[in-house]
Order: sequence, then structure tokens, then C-alpha cells
Amino acid sequence: MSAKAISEQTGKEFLYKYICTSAAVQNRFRYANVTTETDFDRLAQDHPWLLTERLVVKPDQLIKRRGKLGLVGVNLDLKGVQEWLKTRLMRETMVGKAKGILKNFLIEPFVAHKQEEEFYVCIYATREGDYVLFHHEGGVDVGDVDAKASKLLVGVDEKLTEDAVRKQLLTHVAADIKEVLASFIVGLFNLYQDLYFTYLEINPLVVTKDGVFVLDMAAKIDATADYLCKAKWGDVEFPPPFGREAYPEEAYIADLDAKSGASLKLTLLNPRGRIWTMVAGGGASVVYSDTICDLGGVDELANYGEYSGAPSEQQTYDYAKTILSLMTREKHPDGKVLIIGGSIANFTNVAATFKGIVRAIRDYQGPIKEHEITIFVRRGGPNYQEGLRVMGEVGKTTGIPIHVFGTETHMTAIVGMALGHRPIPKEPPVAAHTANFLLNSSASSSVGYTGTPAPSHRAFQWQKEAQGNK
Amino acid sequence: MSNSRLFARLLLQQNGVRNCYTASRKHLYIDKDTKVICQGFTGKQGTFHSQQAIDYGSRLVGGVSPGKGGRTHLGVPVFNSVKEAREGTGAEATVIYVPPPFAGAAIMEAIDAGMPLVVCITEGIPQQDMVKVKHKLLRQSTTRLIGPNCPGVINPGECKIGIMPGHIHKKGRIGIGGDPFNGTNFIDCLEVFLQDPKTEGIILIGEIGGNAEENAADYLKQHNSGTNAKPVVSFIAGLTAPPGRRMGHAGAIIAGGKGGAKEKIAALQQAGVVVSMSPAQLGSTMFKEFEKRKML
Repeated sequence: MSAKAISEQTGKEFLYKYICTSAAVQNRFRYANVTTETDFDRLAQDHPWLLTERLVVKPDQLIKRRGKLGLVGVNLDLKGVQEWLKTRLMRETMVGKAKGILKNFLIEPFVAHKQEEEFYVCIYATREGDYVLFHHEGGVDVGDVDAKASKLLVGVDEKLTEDAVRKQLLTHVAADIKEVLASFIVGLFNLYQDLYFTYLEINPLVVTKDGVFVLDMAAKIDATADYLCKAKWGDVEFPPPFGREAYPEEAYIADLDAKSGASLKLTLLNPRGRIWTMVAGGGASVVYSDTICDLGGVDELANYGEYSGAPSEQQTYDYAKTILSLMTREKHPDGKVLIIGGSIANFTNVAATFKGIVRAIRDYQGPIKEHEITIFVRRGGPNYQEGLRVMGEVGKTTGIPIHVFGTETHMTAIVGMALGHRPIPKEPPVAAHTANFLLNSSASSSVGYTGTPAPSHRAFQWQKEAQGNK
Repeated sequence: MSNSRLFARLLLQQNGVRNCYTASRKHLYIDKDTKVICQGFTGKQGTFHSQQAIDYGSRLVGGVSPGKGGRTHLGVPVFNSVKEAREGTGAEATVIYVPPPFAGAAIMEAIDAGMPLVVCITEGIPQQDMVKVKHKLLRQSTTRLIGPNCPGVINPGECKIGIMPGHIHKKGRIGIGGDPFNGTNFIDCLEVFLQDPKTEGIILIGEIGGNAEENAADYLKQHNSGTNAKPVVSFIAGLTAPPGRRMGHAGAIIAGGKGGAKEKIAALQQAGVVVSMSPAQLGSTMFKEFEKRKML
């Protein structure tokens, strides 16, 4: 499962579109998105209310506690909003320890209201079911909700009733708005379940005599439910956390990932860094990142990612070429290193994946040499001998320094070598011929599947012997 | 008042219901006689890994592929449902290679058929599906679930249920998976290993996110101390992952003081676990522990 955050705008869009409630939800679809490319005249045409109402403006970039950070402009007209934005749009800001650029804003109608009309609602998922939190004193100063709010657990396969909401959550609420709030909260809960939210927080939720206003929203949805909710979600975007950019290369890999049973992940941390990784496996990739940081490489670590689950040669080629393309955009005075690592593959055919990587290396050999990239390889798994062999070969034929290691070397030893902390040992002898022990007797597969052949016990004996003979 | 009623109900749920499911822990122990079936048998993944299992020596006695019952695949019968497969073969374990949209239902079917051990390999099952599975799981004591999103369980030389390569294993190993809603956690495994006379030491490999390792540390403090304590060596991946960044298997995020590697390491150390800073040193660290206790 993968609970991912969505923007405030997306959350509100879902809410306005799909909530079923008798409560009078106001300002439906009244939000205007602003970026550095926004033409305000055009914007006013698309959203005429911008010219007639007082407005609120704030960044929509998964930033918490914007009020306290002075990032909310309140009760302005459109000109005032533009003035407010002048000093903030495309400005670098610190939010906590994250440094980022404010580039995506939301303008909404200003809703005049009293403090007593602000409420807090939150729904979130746990193992035993979903919790609904409510506090009658919402807003910027709501404080510690875990301690103060009323809580109600909706167990697995249970429904939320207005009665339960009234009795257990709305005890401190005035009688005349209990009806409205109960209906809204039940409607919100059903929306939360139907659209596979895992987290939904509205603070403040404002209820006046004019109706219900959703002034703010933070939400997460279960991305693995895409196949169920595609029709309702549409092409939903998952914004990166504040301080990190979303790169087209990440989107490209995410697309490859979505189309495949294999796993292909890429996150760019510091594209100008000199330490790049292409590691197989979720577990191993975390360990490699740990080791790189442990050895002082955290500032130069360019990316985090992994490939696993037996991607094809083509998929691995696409993945590798993306990394190589990113590595060869800018030169680094100290040259760069590419760590092609992994543990022992469960069942991924290492010969196939490495052939894809090697093809990419060959295609990029010019830029690789220009940018002074050294490559370190460590891997084990089905047919790894063949994989290591082709790696060693492409290094020889292209003149790129490629250091190749198998399971006789510890998984993360190549990190020390890559960072210059330990000498590069004389490499173990790689088989000079193509090892064909990988082919199982095809009679054993009675359904003509085209999966990768399984190595036999005999093959592993051969490998053990080969290692013993060094 | 409603809060205390809620609290009491939760307590009852946790104590009463958990005792129910914990009774199924013994089914984690597999051996050369364990009969296994495969759900999603005729699919690409099911076929590939079943062949691997057969080659390894696991007792694969049949498989399930709705609509294809009556045929033979890889030399064993195919059934239309788990119930039929269990009746036809006496299987005690099932491994699920079914895609995410149907995997939750596949687990439910196995529970309904009273299968003692279910190993679900599938990654990417929606959370809501797993919450429902977990809900059902906790209220019964026959079926033990490992996974989802896990490599499986292996008893080297005897039985292999999952995708791990057979040849690298010399001691018992269970891969429990990285999903937050999983069937078996560290404590379930620790109980089996602590009580198994053949298990001399335990290696626990954890990762950032959640608090499974902290709970395991608590369990060890209570159940693995004193002169008969078995050596436990651990490695936690993700020490350098900063908060808010999504990394690792199930996209773990460290949030608000919980789930960080430092906290896990501290908790485990307080429980007497020796934490290795590198996976490469797990073997030598365990060896040193055996030496210290004169177990060699």
C-alpha cells in the first residue's frame, strides 16, 4: 500500500464533486490555482468571483501550519492578492528544515466568521478501523488534537450514523447546528471510504447560518487503489514534499513502474551531486543509501531509487538510460561515480537486467567518459556470472572504468571503494565464456510460459566450485 | 464516559481477540512434509515460482486457478477453489501469487477454507482490503498469514514457500514483508524461534517506518532475558533517511518521532539485542555472541 498526499486543491475537488450530504456546502469549486505562469486577467475571466469577493491566498504545497508561518493572506481583493504574491511567489523559504520555492498557490473566497464557528474534523485509518476526530474549537490554535478532540472508531465493515456522530462527537456543539454537522461528517466519512482516503483533515471547518465552508484540507489517498478509483480520481497528481522538485524523469520512471509488475522507482535528491546509485531491491537500496551517508556522502548523494521484481532487459535499459542521462547533464570537478549494486536477487534474472544496463552504458559511453564517471558493480542472483561478465566486457571495450564484483564481496564494500575510502582490490576472475548452465530442461514447463528459466541445483554447485577455486 | 467504554472495548479486542489469532503461530513452522498449494497457479508468476519450489524439493501438491479445475499443471492437479484443493490434497499451506485486485479475496478464501498457513507474496494490495482481511484474521485461530508483500518462509533443505533463492540459506528464515497491515509481525516470529529448541540465535532485520521493531524489543525484554536468553542480532535499514522522505519497500516515511532507525536501534539495544551497523557484519556479530556464551 502507498498512502500518498494530495494537494489541498485536489482534496477539495474530490469533496465538492462527490460528497453526499444534506448540509449546505458553500463555495463549491471556488478555488483558483496560481503559479508563476498565471495570467491574472485570464484567471479573472475563468473565475469571475475573484473580482466580486474578498479573497484568501496561501501556498498549496503540502506545507503545514501556514497560518503560523505567515503564509496566509486574508481578506484581500484581487489586487491585494497580487501584491501579497509579489513578495512570496517563486521565493525561497524555509519550512522547518526544508528549503524550497513557493510556486503553487490557491486563491479562495474569504469567509467572514467568528471563532466559535470554527471546528476541527479529522478521519484517519488504523488497523482496527477508521477514527473520526472532532473538536468544537477548531482553527489555527487548535493545539493538541489527540488530547482534546472527541474520538469515534468506525470498525471494519461498520457504518457511521448521524446518531453516533451526534452522541459521541458533537456533545459540545450548539443544538441548532448539530443536524448540519452530523450530516456533513457522515457524508465526509462516506466520501473518505468511497475514494480510498487514508487521511482527511479539515481545519477549520466553518459552519455559519449561511452553510458549511471547507476552509482548509489536508489529505492522503491509497495510491494502490488506483485501479478501483480511477474513474473518480482521474489522473490524480501526488505532489512531492515541500523542498523537493518533481522531475520529468521521476514521472517517466513512475509511468514505467505503473505499467509493469516489476518495481521501478526513482527519486532525485540532488541532481548536481556526484554519487549516483542504481540498486536492485527496496531493502538493499536503503542500505546502500545508509552506507553512502555513513561514509560522509550525504551532500553528494544524487538520487534514491531501486529496481526489482524481474524487470525485462528493455525496462532495465530504460531505467539505466534515465540515470545516465541525468548524470551527464552537468560536469562535476571531482568526476562522478555510479554504484550499480544489489544483494543476491530472489529471482530476477541478473543476466537480463545487466544486459539492459550494459546496452545503456554503450549508448552513453561518450558522455560517460566526458563526465569522468567511474562505475562500481556488485551483484548476485540467478545468472549473475553472465551479468558480471558483460559488465566487465563493456568496460574493456569502451574504456570506461568499471569495477565488477560478485557475492565474494560484501554488498556495500563498493561504496567504500567508490568514495575513495578503501582501495579497489584486484577483481575476482570473471568467466571468459558465456555460462549456459542457466537453461533448464524446458520439458519441465508444461504451460508454454515465457518467464525466465530457473537455475537448477547443478548450476549452483558449479558456482560454488568456481568460487572455491579462487 | 464514551471514552472509557471505547477504551474497554479496545482492550478486550486486543487481549481477547489477539489470543485467538496468536494460537495460529505454530503454523509458521514448515518442514519437508508440509503440503503446499499455489493460488494463481497457472499465471506467469505462479507457474515460475511453483517450478522453483518443486525443484527445491517443496511438497507442492496442487494449485488453484478458478475455471481451470480438472487440468494438470507442472505435474499436479489444478482446482477451482481453495476448498476443493484442500479437500483433494490435504494441503496445509498455500502461497498466493495473485495480482493486487484479487489478492485480498484470495486470502479471504484461504481463511474460509481453514488453511493453516497462508503466504501472500503480492505487493500493492489496497489498504482497505487488508484491513478487512486483518479483521477476519484476528477473529479466528486456524489460519496464520505471512505477508502480503513479502518473500515468504523457508526451512532450508526441507521446504521453501516463496520467492527467495533456495541455495543461499542455511538456517531458518522468515521474510514477513514491509506492509503496515501484515499478517505476521516480529513478535509472532520471535515466539516461534524462542520456543524452538533447534533455534540457537535470531537475526532480526528491520527497516524504517512504523513501530514493529520497538514492539519486538518490548517482547524480548519480557521473554528473552536471563541466563537462557538466546542471542539476538539485528540490523535496521534506513538510519540516514531523513523525516518526510519516502524510501524503502512499502514507501516508509518517518513521521513525528516514531519509526526512525535511531529509535528502533535504541529500543532493541535496551532489550539486550546486539545491533550491527552493517548487514555484512551480522554473521560475525552472531558468531561473537555464540563465543561469548560458549555455545561453540
